[in-house]
Amino acid sequence: MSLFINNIAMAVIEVKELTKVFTLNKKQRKDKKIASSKLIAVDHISFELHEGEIYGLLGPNGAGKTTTLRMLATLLTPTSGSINIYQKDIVKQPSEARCMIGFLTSDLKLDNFFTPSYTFDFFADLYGLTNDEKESRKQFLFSKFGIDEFKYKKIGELSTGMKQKVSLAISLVHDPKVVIFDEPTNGLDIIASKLVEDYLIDMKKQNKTIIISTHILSLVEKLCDRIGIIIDGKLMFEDSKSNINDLEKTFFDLYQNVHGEND
Amino acid sequence: MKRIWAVIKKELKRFFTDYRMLLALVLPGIAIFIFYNVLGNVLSSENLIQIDTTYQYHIALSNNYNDDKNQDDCSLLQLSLTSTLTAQKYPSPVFLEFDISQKDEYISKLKNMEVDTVIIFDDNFEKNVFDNVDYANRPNINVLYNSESKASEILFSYTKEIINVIYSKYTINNDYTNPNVGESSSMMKQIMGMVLPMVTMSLLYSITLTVCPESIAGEKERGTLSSILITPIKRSEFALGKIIALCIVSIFGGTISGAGMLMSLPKMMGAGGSININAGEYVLIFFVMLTLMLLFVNVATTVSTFAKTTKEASGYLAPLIAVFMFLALVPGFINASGIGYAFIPIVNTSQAINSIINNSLNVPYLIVTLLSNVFFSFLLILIDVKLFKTESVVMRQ
Repeated sequence: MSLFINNIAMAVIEVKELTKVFTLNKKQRKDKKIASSKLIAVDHISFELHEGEIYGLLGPNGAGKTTTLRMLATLLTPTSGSINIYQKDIVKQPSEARCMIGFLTSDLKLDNFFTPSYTFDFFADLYGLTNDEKESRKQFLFSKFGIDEFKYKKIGELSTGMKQKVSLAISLVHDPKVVIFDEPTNGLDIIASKLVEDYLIDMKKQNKTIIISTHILSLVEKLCDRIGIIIDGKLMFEDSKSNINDLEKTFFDLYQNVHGEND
Repeated sequence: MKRIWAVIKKELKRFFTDYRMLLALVLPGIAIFIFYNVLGNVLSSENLIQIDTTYQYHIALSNNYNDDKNQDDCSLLQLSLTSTLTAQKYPSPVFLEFDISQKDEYISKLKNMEVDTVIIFDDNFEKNVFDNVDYANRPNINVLYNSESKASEILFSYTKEIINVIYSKYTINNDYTNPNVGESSSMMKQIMGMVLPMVTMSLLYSITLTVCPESIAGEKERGTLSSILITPIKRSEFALGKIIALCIVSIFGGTISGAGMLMSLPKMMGAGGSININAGEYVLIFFVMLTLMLLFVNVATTVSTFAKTTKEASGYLAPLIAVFMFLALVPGFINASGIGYAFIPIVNTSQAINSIINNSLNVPYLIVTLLSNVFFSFLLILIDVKLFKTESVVMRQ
């Protein structure tokens, strides 16, 4: 569904004043060396994504990128603020929102005990696909990612690259409109990373709306239409890629402004 | 519903196609079978229950059976008892017939161990048999024994069995919830009453220890839980799917354990002398064990949902076995036959199994036991669903 009014693309993802506060126990406070029992991981972040757009979320470790994306993927509930995906509030209508989201991160794993074929069927059932839809999607995606030759092998017996292919196929079981990538190349070798990059390019061609967090600036520069930089839970910068001359310089200038040169 | 079913199918496939999991489910049943057989052998060889074969049994019967048909039956009962006892190398028993008005006198004799059993026919025994009444109003025979006498216990088991098999048209001990006139159980029965429920429960609990942490905390540990939670399945649907599948898997394991118990009990019964369980009582034991299994599954599921790793879940669940064992032993130390105890999980199940084995089954107690176990299981399901909806619990990694 293209959402256009008077030729102006409407936002398909609307994030407003998004905030996430975690309560820390004694051990966590000690580990993080902070006295307060509350940790503001995401602090009143607002941004919008339009259909077919790729949004890159940059930030140092612990800046709040993963928490933001986990809230977008409905895994975490915002403490305050709102997220609407295709006008579905993720808190009030989580199941409807999830039907439109594909989420991929190296933290999400597939059960090593099962085969890619069985795992695909299982997730297709969870997304409510009919048997015909299930079979045609499986045929299409397994062929696209070259999974057919090992579809009956246990996932635990597959190489990292093969597992990544299966994860990509599973994230697309339901043909999502929105794809969320949280550092998807973390821990992957160069071949598996290339696979992810190719996948992103393919998604862009299909006019999917994509939000991605990564440390790889070259990847962001190559693919993203707009870029946001999060530092200490706050969205410190947001602009179109075309307006940014030197992304690396922009990022480090911003970081030093907040943390000082010695940090 | 389709999503719940998908979760159930996945869990069942996980457990029933993994040979290590299958082994973990089957092993307790084999352990029960071996343990009970060994225990039965040890107890028999220790001569705890043997009665000297020179012992002559004294059997007292009320004489209110005058018509020919009943006279024949009674003769047959006497004949069957004589042949059973002589087959066991005992001398022919002495039969003492008494008038129904002397009932209390003979019960006193049984208490004083002057006779080994007292068999009392129904007040309307003749009339009921003669009128050929319907099945529900079958005439009744009360067979009393004294648990302080080993001979009386052994004779009770023979008598009950003979009446059960040959005289199915009568009921037994309808008038007495406890046919035992003795003050205390024999040592053998006390051992059995304590050991049997305790061992059974520990083995059933061990099944849930194998299955539940692996299924729920294991998903968190492996990072596969979040992959499922980003799909449209509701947290409550996922929790229910898991619980139903774990119940099915645990009941499968429990049934195998039950079969192990069923096959080994004759050995224990041989050792226990008067432990005499018929098919109906086996079914009752199975149902009691089934509801207990549900309770155990839900305890283990709730704890596993809270824990972030299988190790943490096992760390919480393992010490609980000591608490459960203590509760299972309570009926061995105090009289837990009061209906109030039927509301306390574990204690009630232990007492119920104990009373079935000791032929002193109290139906209201059994019903409250079953309902109590189901109630607490249901309560734990609600807590578990709530935990699945709690972000700080589900996302603990």
